[in-house]
Amino acid sequence: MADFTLKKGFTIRLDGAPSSECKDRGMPSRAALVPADFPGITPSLLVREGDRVKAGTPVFTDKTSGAPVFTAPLSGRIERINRGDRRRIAEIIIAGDGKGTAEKPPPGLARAASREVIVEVLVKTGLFAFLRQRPFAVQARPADLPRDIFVSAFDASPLAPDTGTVLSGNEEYLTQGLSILSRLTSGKVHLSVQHGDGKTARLASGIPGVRAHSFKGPHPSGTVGVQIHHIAPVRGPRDIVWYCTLEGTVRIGRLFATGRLSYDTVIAVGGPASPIRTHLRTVQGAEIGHLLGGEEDPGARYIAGNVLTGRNAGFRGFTGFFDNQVSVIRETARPELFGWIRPGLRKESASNSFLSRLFPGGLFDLDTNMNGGLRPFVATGNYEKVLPMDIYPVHLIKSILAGDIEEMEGLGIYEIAEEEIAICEYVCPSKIDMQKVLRDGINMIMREG
Amino acid sequence: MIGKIFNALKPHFEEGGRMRAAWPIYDALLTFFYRLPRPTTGGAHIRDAYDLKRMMMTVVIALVPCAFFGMYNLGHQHFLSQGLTPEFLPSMIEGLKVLAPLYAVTYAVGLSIELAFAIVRKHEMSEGFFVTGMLIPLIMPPTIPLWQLALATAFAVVLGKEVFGGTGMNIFNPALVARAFIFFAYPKSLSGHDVWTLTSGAPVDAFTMATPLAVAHEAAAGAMGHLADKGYGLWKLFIGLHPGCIGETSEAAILLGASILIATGVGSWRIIFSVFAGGAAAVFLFNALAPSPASIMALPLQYHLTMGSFAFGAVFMATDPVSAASTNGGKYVYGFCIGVLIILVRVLNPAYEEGTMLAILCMNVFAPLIDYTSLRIHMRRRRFRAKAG
Repeated sequence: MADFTLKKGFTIRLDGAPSSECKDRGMPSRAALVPADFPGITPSLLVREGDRVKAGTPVFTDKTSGAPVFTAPLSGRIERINRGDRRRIAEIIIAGDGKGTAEKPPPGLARAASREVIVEVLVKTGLFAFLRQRPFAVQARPADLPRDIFVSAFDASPLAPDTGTVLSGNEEYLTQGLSILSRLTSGKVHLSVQHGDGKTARLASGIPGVRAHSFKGPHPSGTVGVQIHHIAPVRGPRDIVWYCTLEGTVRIGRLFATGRLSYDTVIAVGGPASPIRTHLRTVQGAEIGHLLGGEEDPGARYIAGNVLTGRNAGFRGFTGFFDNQVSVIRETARPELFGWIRPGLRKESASNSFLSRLFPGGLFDLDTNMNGGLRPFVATGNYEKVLPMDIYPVHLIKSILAGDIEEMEGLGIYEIAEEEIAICEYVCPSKIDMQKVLRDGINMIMREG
Repeated sequence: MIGKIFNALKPHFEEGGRMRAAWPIYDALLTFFYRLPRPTTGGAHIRDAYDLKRMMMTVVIALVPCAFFGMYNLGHQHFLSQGLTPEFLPSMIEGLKVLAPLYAVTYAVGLSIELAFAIVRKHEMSEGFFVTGMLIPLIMPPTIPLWQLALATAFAVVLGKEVFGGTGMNIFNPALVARAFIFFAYPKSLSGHDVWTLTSGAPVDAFTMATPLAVAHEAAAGAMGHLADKGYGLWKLFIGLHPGCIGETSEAAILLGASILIATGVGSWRIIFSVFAGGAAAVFLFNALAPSPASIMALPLQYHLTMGSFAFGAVFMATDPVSAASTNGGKYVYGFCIGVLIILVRVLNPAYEEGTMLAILCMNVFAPLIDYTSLRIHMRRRRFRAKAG
């Protein structure tokens, strides 16, 4: 087991962390699939409004590859298919019938099954959607043979779910899942746990082809891109590695261990404006309003995922596929007199120009304020301090803005994705949308490449 | 109260209002008073409280000790030159009488030009001029004519910054461009012994008009002894009660400013440190090569650091993040070269006593090249690592 200690990074002191207890929230009346959660695919619908589905019924597939399917998380009826800009499919909403019937998984659920059979089972059950690849941070393709597979067993981002709570009762499934993943790669499965979490690391011990690593350090140490960078970096456009979330690994393990398709999941709910701060047991894609209960607060923003990379879903929106988290923060509302010159005791910042840096204990009620206007890039040195990778974020982003592909490659675009650069976007004094620029750059490379 | 005024005025500046073209003024004033509730729209939903305005204001605050000391020193030198005992309050008032018009002219000229560019480009007004405007009077001699200052400021804002696209795009440090403009267009205002003290009538004999650097250069036998004869002991040089550019004489005040910049992380300690390191390296080399103790080459390090613009340039000019090198490795090279060049000009160039301005402007030109090289090395290391892995 290798130990990595990362000095760089920044833990945002956001108030409203979920407690480690887990409550049962039960079946929601509605759940949805959001195609935007799956980067790099073009959805092609397999159902129409009004169709009856079971848990596990394919709902849409990827038009380009045609292979993996994305499946309904609960049984019921397709209530609505919402479309966004340019008729892009925004949400496929399923009204639950409360029966909890599920499709039968295909045969071949033996741990000793061949790689081809395992891939086919995952593709047909929709669990393959949990696998994404680097470079580019897009959905994995079943035809590829990844060099390694990475699983991050912790999340250091603000208000993140607690590994112990999520894994509670699922330990055996994690072990099973890791063992299945190890059959998909020619190399190793690398499980990264938080420093001190020997309990999770032990779940991986003794499985052939699986290695555990421990990471110590502030956010973004829990993002898989940072972990890959330190364990076995991506070397180029054809050096493909896959990664899977902790949740995904558990769900894959559960399918193979029980022989049943299950969409049960644990969602952490928190944030300064959240009425509850806890973990909830429910199903994937559940309606956020169902989880939170009560009435919608018009002054709040309901985010599927964390506050850095999540999606502004709204109270009637749905939880994401990859993030077991809902964050609720206040929308910015009131102008603040001389906001930029105040001593800053009640402001959270990575900059020492705020007095709050002298009191490391505090927690802050951060709202959605940009805290400044859009400005040109200035190489202030703030970015490098929060990115624990051998990458110059400012120069990488500038090379993307200039459209210089060779420079992007040299500066490390194959190693990084939104979840790693999000913390740079957070600290950016020029308020530049670095995640969007990075994705534009990745798309540019994928088109040209 | 302020909010009501802004709300009442708003319709005039909005689309269709009579003052539509002047929207940047309204916006600049509004954002000066208020942090507006502008929500995040995509990407990160929360953003750091830090922005460029905060950064610029931190630099301005770090310059306040230099400005106040400069103000006092102006009056102090004025009274000394008249053979009077300088007292605190009258000295401050005398200094204020000089400094206030300098600042008024600098900001009036600079901000109007920035505003004009903001209107034409339909941009928000950027806050970059806060720092530039704070710096310009501090690097001028107290006798600078206001019209020259106005011209220099205009030149600096237009040709030093806006032609490149405004804040963040410029190659040269705009404040130094203003000084260079005076230096080349009106050399008399920046040279000789007479410009560094505000006199009224002829100074008394006992008063030394020459700056310490000039004194060190004219020394016939042993610069240190000569400096001491003229009343320039090391401690006095450090405190800064001597003639010179308004804000640059006191290393004590600069040290205070430097500690603010470094503690807040606004100024790069890498650059500040390496300017001093480069200066030290060059001084030690010249000390070793000095033909005689009388030569300026023999002047020890502590004198070089406490005279002229060395410290002020290292702390406030070289650290400008826009015109400096932007890679961490590059910052060391950039700073080191500035330090070496300052001493090189001081010691080997008989025409100019001071080399700080030229050294920093010169390295501003090379900063992109340093970054380019540093990025190539970075990319090569990355490629090498990829192959090894």
